[in-house]
Amino acid sequence: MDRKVVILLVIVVVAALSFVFLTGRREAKPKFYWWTPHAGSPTHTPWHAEVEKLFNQIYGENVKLVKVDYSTEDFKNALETTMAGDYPPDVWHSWGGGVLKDYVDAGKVEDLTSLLNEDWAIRLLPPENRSKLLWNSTWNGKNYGFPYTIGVVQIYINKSLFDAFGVRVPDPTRGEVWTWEEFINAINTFKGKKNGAGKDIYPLVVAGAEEWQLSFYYMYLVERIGGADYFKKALNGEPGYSFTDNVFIMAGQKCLELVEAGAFQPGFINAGYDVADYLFFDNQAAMYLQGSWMVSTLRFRMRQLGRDFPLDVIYFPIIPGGAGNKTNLVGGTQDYLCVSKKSNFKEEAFNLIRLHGTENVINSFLEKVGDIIVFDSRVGGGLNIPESKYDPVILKQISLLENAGSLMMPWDQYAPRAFALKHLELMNRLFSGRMSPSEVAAQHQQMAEKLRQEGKLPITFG
Amino acid sequence: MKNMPERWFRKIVPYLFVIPALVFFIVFFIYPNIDVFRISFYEWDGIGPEKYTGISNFERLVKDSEFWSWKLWFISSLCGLAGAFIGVILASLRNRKFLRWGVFGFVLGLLGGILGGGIAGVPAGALERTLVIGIQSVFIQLPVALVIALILHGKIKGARIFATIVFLPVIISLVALALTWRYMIYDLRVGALNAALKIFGAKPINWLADLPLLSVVITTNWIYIGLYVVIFIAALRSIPSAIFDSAKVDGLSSFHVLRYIVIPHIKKVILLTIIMCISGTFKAFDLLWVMTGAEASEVHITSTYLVKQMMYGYWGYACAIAVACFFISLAIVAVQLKLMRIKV
Repeated sequence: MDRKVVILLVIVVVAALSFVFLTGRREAKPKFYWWTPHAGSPTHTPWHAEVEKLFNQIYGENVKLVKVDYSTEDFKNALETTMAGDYPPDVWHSWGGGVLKDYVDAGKVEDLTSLLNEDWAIRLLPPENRSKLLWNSTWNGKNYGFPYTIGVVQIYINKSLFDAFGVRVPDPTRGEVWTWEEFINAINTFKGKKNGAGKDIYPLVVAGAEEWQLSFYYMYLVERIGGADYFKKALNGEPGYSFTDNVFIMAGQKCLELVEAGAFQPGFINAGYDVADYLFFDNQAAMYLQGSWMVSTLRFRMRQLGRDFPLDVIYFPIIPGGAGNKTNLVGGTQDYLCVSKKSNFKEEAFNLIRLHGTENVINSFLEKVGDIIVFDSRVGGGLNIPESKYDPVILKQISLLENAGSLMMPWDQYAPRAFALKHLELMNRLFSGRMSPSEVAAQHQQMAEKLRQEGKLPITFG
Repeated sequence: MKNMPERWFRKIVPYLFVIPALVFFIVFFIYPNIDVFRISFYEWDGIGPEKYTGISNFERLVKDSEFWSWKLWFISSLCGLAGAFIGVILASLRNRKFLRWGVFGFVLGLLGGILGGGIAGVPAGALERTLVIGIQSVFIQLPVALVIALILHGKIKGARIFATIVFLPVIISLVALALTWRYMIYDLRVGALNAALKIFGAKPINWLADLPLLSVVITTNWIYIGLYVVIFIAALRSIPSAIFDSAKVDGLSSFHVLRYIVIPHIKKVILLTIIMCISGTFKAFDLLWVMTGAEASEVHITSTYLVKQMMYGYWGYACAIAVACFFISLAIVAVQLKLMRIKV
C-alpha cells in the first residue's frame, strides 16, 4: 500500500513538473531584458513603457522585451553585481565614461560601430560630429553605446523670488554672470526671508544624500579656478598637476564658505532628491544647481498642480582671477543604450536601438520627456527639431550649449568607478564639515595614485 | 530475496525526496560560501580576470583602521584583563570556578572597554560598531522584551492586541521602516523627534547626520523588541502554571520568581535570543544602508563596509571581510555557548 502511494506521488510530481516545463517552454516566448535607471521618473517611465509596447508589437512575434526600471543608485549596484556574476541584462542604459570603460575593458559590452554606421544612425549622428558627441563611449575607434540626450548642469532659479527680493537675474544669453562675491551677496539677500505662503526661503537647495549634487559645486569651482581640463590632468597624473594643488583646496574652501554662509536648507547633508525637488518646486528655494533633466519633472509636477513655475537658468559664478570660463558647463552626452556581448538576443537588441532612432519614438521622447536630445542639429546631431518641441528654459540651455567653451563630464561618470565612489564619499565629508578641504584633496590624490598603480589610470577615450 | 527490491526502494526513496532541496542548498548556500573563501585570496574587481594574491587581502584587513581600530582593542584588552583579574578574585572569595569567572570577567571587561572607549571618542571601526550594536541589543532589547513579556503573560486585558501591535514592525519591510523613520521621525525639518524637541525649546538635531549610530540603534530596538516579546511569551507559556502557584503560596517576591523560576526555565530561549541578537547584527544591513545612505557615509558596520568595498571594485577584499566576520561570529557564539554551559 505504502509503495503504491509513493509511486503515485512520484508519478504526480513528475507529471506536474513535466507539464510546467514542457508547456511553459512551448507557450512562453523567450525574453530579453532592458534595464533603465529611471524608476519613479514621471516623464521617462511612460515613455519607456511606450517604447517597450511598440517593440513588442513590431518585433515581438518570437521574443518578448521586458523592461526593468531601477532607481539610479540601485541600477548602478544591480548592474555591477550582474556584471560580476557574468549575467548582465541584454540592453542597459549607461552614462558613458570610466564606468563604461571598465565594462568594455572586461569584454562585457558589444561593439556598436557597424550599427552606428547604418544610414539611419548616420542621419541622426553625423560622422563629422561624432568625436564631439560620442567621445565618452568610444575606445580604439569603436563605439560602445547609442546616445540619446545631453545633460547640462546649471543653476536654476525661481524668478518670482528674485523679483520679490530685488535680486537682479544675470542673463547668460547676454553673457552676464555673477562673480563669487555677487553670488554670496544674493545668498545673503535670500537668507532668513519668507515666501508668499509664509514659508522659509532657502537661498540654495541641494540633495546631499545624492552626493553627486554636492559634487556639482566642487566640479564647477575647480573649473572656475583651474580651468576646464585641470581635473583630467590631475586624474591622469600629468606632470605639474595634482589633487593636492591649491586649485582643489580653494574649491573645497569655497564649498565650505557656502555651508558656513547658511546657503543650503537645514539638514541638506542627508536630504534626498525628492526633498530638494520639493523645496524648489514649492517656492521655498531661490536657486537649485541641477541637471537639465530636472526641468521635465518640474513641468510635469506643475501640470499636475495646475500652476506655472517661474523658472530660469543662470551661469555658475566665476572666480575673479581664476583660469575658468563662464561659458564652460558641466554636462555631457548620456543616456547611452549598451548591449551585452553575452546576449543571445543581439539582433533584437539592435532592433530596440533602431526603434529608438525612429521619428515616432524621438517625437514621443520630446513630447513626454523633453530633455535635450543629442540628435538635435544645434548640439551637433543631424535633425532639425522645431523650437516649439522644447521647454523655453531647455531652449535657452541649448543656446548656451551652442556657445559653451567646453563641456566637462561629471567626475563620477568620467573617472573609473572606484575613483567616482571615493569622490562622492569625500563630497559628503567635505560638506558635512567632517574633513578639511586639504584632507579631501589629499584623499583624491591618494585614490588616483592607487588606481594608477593598478593600471586603471590614466584613462583614455576616443 | 523476494523482498530485496522493495527494501532497497524503501531505503532510496527518502533520499530521492531530499535530493531537490539538497541540490538547492549546495548550489545556493554551500558553493557560494566556499567560493567566498576562495575569492578572499584573489584580487578581483568584479568584472575583470581574478589574480591570485595569497593572503594580501587579509594583510590589508589587519591594517585597515576603517574595519577595526587597534587603539580601541588595546584599551578594551586592558579592560578585559582587569575584568578577568576581578573575576578570579571574586571566584576565590566566593569559592567558585576560577576559569569560568575569569573568562566571564574578561569578556565583560572587553565589551565594556569597547563601549566605553567608543563613548569616550576613540575612533571606532566597522567591527566595533557592529559589536556595540550587538551588545546593546542584548542588554536593551532582551531585558525590555522580557519585562513586556512578563507583563503580558499575566492576565491583563488587551494583552493579545498589545502583543500584536508590538510585533507589527517585525512583519513590515525593513526598507519601508527605514524610510519612514528617516523622513517622519528623524528629519531635521519635519521629523517628529525635532518637533518634540521644539516643544521643549531645544535646538533641532540632524539625527542621521550627527548621531547616525544612535538613530539606527533606536530604530533597531523598536523593531526587534516585538520579536523577542513574542518569543519570550511563548517560552513563558511553557512553564507549568503549578510552579508559579506554589511560588505564590511560598510567598516568593517577583524578583525571586524571575531569578529562580523564569530565567532557569527559559535559559535556552534566552541563549537563542542572544545568538539571534549578535548574529542578527552581523547580518544587519538594510536599516543602516537606507537610513544613512551608507554608500558615502563614514559610519559603517561590517556588512555595509563589505558591500562598500564591493562597490569600489574590491571584491576579493570584500570576501576577506566576509571570511573574517564568519570566524568572529563563530568565536562569539562559541563563547556564548561555553558561558551558558549548553551543548548544542
